[in-house]
Amino acid sequence: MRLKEQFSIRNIGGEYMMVSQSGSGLDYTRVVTLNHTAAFLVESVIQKDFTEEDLIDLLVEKYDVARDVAAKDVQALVGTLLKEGLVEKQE
Amino acid sequence: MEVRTINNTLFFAEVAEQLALGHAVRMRARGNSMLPFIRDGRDVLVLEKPGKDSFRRGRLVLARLLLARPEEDRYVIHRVVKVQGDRLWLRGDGNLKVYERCSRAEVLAEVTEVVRSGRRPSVERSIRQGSWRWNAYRFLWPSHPFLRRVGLALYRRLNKK
Repeated sequence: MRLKEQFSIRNIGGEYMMVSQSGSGLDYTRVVTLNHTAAFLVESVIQKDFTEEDLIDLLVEKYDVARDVAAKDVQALVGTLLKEGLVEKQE
Repeated sequence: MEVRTINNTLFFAEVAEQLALGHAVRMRARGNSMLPFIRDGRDVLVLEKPGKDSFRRGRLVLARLLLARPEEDRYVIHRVVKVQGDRLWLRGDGNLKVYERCSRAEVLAEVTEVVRSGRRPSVERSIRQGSWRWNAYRFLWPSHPFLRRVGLALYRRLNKK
């Protein structure tokens, strides 16, 4: 899968926000707040094709967590991103 | 989708940073001081870094009004009504007698486009600075406080649900 638009991850007052970027502008009318881990994952896959496995690998590598714990977090994040229409699945 | 509001100081610091990088910024309008042109929570504003032409009568600008302490600074998006050297007088279209005074350095951005939403949420109309619709809102809306009061009363009556 891949992020549908170009996003910029911004830290505003200690909170991470995913702001969509189009052409020469940033759109703050619709932002998604992320926690620290989610921000790290999304930032790692900006403009890249990725799978859930890739995200799990990233988490395990960076935070040294058990694979099944990481898998749960990743599923939750991907679920949210899909629901909000921020990523698209490719065949 | 959940709607959240970010603290003004943090938000506009972020906006200023993006503008400095040369990015345009889209944000949702808040407040009633620019009625009837800009409606609270409904319309979207496109902000760009101010240019030489931003400091002219009739332009809409975002200004940071400096108060005693930085965390108390007020941010307004109002119309330039008078320019005198470095000093600008601003007034919201929806305000009767309140003016703000600021220097050019306090102007963070110019509003170059207002995206007005229609009665149905899917219908939007983009009004660019200088277009005839933009000028209609600028020139047909009275400046005199009494006429404004009447205009606002009519506006509210027509838009009552």
